[in-house]
Amino acid sequence: MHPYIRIFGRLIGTYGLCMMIGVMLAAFLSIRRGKKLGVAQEDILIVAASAVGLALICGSLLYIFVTYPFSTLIAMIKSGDFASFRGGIVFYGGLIGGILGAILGSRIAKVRLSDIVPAVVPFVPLGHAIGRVGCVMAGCCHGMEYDGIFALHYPQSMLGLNPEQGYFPVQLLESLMNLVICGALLFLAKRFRRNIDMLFAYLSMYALTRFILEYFRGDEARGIYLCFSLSQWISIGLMIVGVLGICLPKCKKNVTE
Amino acid sequence: MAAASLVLGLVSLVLGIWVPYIGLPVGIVGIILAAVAKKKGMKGPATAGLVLSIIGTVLCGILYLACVACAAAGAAASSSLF
Repeated sequence: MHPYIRIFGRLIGTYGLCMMIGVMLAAFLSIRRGKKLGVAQEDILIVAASAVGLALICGSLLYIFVTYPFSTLIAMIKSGDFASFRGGIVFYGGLIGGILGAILGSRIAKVRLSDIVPAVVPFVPLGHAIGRVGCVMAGCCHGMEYDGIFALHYPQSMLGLNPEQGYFPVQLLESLMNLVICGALLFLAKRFRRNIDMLFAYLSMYALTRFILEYFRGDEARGIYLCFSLSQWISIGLMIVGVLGICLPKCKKNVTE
Repeated sequence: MAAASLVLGLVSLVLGIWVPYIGLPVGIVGIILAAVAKKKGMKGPATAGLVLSIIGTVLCGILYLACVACAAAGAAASSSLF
């Protein structure tokens, strides 16, 4: 739609702008919530910065491994010719990298990750929701062809999409679902038995959402393995991790009693 | 540590204009060092380093992510022709 906008006469990419607005808003709200919960601002900054840093690295690495066959990568490295190399980011790579970065950040700050989770995790889907608006603006990923209600048209897109063709607003729907997840996590915050359960709940809710929404995406470059896309396979894994993370300690406690 | 964060913040601000994919990790490390310095009670330079690092990181993030989106979309567009 609008891959670029002009601010003070300079062309600014809307994708990057939306992503950074999302990250900054999530960080601001996390720090504010952290104050109420007794978590130091500096600890949240250290954990958030580590998480964002590793999220970008892992998201980029996953994109490379999904897009380029291993033999092509080896050939590029041996020849030193990277002219055809293009970068990108996959959200799930970013999510997994973000969790690893948060663990690293908690070690640097010398705090328990479970103390940071209630302040930060509810706003991760909020930041993600704003970032997905950037995807719509840039037209870098899109839904399947669709001409019903709320269909999106891309008069300008980075993929050179047909401006006459309508597409399913899957990214806007994902934004909306992320806002619902944010609200649900804040509403249920006091009901979690352990702080870390909030992280497992977020993983389960987002993984289920993403698994379903994958059927409405139209960008085939993502790769299909057996009958599911890579993101759907990762969603299945994260749903299992999320559910086991919440239920296993409960089962162990019941068995002990 | 506070001085290091100040330097890294300045570097990420300057690098952000020309090489955002280097300025971005520099800014992130600057934020971490500034926050650790603030935790240890170093206020003035740590706060300045934190502010510069955040501005540098945001600037580099906008420029780097815009480039990445363009490149990824370009690759997808060219691969979908075949």
